[in-house]
Amino acid sequence: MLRRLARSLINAVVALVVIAAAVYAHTFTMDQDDLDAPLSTRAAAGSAAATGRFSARLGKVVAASSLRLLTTTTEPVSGRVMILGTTRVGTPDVFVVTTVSATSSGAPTRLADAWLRTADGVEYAATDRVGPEFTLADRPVQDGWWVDVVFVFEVPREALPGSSVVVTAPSSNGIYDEIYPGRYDQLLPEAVLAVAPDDAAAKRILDDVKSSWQLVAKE
Amino acid sequence: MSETNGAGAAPASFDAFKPVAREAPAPGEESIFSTGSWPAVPPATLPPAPPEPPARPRRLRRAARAVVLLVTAVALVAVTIGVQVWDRSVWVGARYPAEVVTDVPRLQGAPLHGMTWRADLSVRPRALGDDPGVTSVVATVEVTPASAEQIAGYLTPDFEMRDRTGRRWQALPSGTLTQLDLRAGMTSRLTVVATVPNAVRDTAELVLAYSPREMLRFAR
Repeated sequence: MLRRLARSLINAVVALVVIAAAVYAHTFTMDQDDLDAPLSTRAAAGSAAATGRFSARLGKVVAASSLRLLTTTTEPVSGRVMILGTTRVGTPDVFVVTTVSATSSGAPTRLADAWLRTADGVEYAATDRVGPEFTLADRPVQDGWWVDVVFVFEVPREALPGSSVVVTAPSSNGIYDEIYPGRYDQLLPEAVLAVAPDDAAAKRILDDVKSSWQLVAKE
Repeated sequence: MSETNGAGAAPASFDAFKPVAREAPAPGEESIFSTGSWPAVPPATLPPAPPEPPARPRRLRRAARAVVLLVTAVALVAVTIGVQVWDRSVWVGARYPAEVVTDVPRLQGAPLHGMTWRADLSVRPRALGDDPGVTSVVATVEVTPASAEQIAGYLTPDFEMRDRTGRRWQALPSGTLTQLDLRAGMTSRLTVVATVPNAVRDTAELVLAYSPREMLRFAR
């Protein structure tokens, strides 16, 4: 009798422990930051970072203290290139002009959003002082060939050591991101392309800061 | 004849004061309440107790019970996870419905949104300075509204080029076709241009879409 009672008691305790463990297991959920965290693929300078939706590699990196923005057109008859306008943009810091080559796997995508991420995690968005007609950053990246897009960052010089260009594809959740902001995990792919992996690389870039760098838009 | 209990029988002579010869019980057997010893009663014949089950079947039974418990637990976990997966798949299915693509034979028309659509694709000749790895494909899309009511609801559809392995390429209308350009029963034309890799320039197909469930794929 006593043994049966003890056994029932043990069973009840075990069941309670299992239920408590199951309830506790539900606390192991990702918070909003984890849910929003992208899936990063890293690549050294010159090599391609292949994410699920696109591949990207960093090409030329130039630092400049000012930019010359040229708008040109080509005469249909003579084929001569004519300059329609020039704008000069300066900065007390430095412009980092990066050329990123990209291709997609499957569907066309646009890599319009890019950041320069410093070694300590500070992110600088690509400057809006240079329009997409000069950078072609909004051109579609498609399967089968590589296209070059330019991202220009206006950053302090000390941001360069250990920095990377981060390129990401837009969300494919459509209108649901706006209807339920923060509700759905994104798992967006991002390519992290090293600009200046160490102090020496940063020094090489900063030792060669151009007084002016030209970007051309063709009409 | 009246008879009372025992009235007819001759009463046995009983002398309550006459001592009865009794044997003294063995020391320790006599209770303090005992008034004397009694002849030993033979023990009642009890049914034989069932034999103790051997140890092996009991272990087997325990093992079987453990297996049943384990299988039940696994089944419960599977059902719990399965219900969540099913619920999520229903959610995804409702918001991202599977595509319904209607294949249109080459140079034939197909109805969609009250219009009859037809497309003819051609490869644009390579020009100087073109990227050597890609080709421009030009599609002439013809649209014939069935009625004036359908024209009122006309919107330019989305276009893209696809191959049968799931790769897709952007295709853009080079002009605009508005409701003012459309006449019931009359055919209007729209030019769509796409850039595709050379390898699929003769096989990639134009897809016209209003939604994932309203798509036309024009065979080459």
